[in-house]
Amino acid sequence: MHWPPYKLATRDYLAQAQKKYSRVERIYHVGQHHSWSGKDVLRDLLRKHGGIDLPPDKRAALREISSTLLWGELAAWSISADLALQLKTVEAKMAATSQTHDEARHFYTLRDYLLELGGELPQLDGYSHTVLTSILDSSCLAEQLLALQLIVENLAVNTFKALQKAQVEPVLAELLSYFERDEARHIGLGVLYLPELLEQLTPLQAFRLQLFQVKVATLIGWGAQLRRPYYEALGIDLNASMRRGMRLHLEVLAGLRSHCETEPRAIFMASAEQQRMNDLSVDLFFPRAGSHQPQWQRVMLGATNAVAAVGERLLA
Amino acid sequence: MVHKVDIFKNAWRNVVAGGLFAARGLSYGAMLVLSSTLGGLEAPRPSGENDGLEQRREPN
Repeated sequence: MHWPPYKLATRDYLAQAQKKYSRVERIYHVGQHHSWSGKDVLRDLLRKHGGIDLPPDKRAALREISSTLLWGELAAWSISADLALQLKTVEAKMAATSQTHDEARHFYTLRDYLLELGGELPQLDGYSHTVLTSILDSSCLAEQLLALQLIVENLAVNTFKALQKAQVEPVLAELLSYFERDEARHIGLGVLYLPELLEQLTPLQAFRLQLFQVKVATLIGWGAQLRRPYYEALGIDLNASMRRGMRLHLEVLAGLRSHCETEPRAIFMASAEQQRMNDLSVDLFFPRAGSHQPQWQRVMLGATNAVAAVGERLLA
Repeated sequence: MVHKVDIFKNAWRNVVAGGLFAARGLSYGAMLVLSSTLGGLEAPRPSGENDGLEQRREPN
């Protein structure tokens, strides 16, 4: 290994890098500027709202949803540290380092909130566990960037929005707005830097990345079906939430496309027809809260719920 | 990578994920057929309606 990489401190290289990666580097500086103390913010919010006031059934459902968020933050912490180590470009390294700092804060702040909420934190379901360990175990940077920055971070933002919109609990709602600001930057790293990694993939690596994308999306879909009762207990309309999540994902993919000179390879980009099919599938598998479902749909949903439970046991 | 990858467990999980992907596709197809023959579905919600994205996250 040739170390240190002396070219990193040469004027010509720096000029080129600044031209190409100034927006990626900006993620680091903005992160530093917007840094906040989880200890102070949580303490102030608990004081402002007089603690956490939530009935026991909603507390149990919130623990189920939050368990995925908490261990997701821990996984994101490890993966972003891994990215900071492995990414070669200094500016991308800086952005990943900033993300590592954010994820550490998210983990301890959410952990402290959940300790305040009380009760025993449930273990991760098989779907969430498989998604997170698949990303942790991956040795492919493109897989980690795609799955963590563009899919899991996006899913986290969508879950935060759902919890805020349903006004489940005021302390959490305000706390998550801090998380959400940080997550937007993390998605930015994926959007700005992934195109460069995609260009370097061999056809076999590109094929494997597409399979990985399908695997993660499939498991997230079944996981959402498994956790549906908890969302309902919290008053969250999963139909609206899934549709919002898909729109957010499309916006992220559109951002990615705008940073590619040609159509991004190795990633499934849904066409307008496929988007319509996705919308329809959300209506079929996650009907609107309070909507009337015909008998055949109720039977099919019962069958798919059973498949979701079997799948979870097979993965656990 | 934070722990040793269990190749067999990973392969098993890929098999299960493949099965779940197929199950999703099959159930989607079955529901499409049932909705076109038996009907009864409520009109779909227009895309983007009341989904909260009008309050965009703060730009960084």
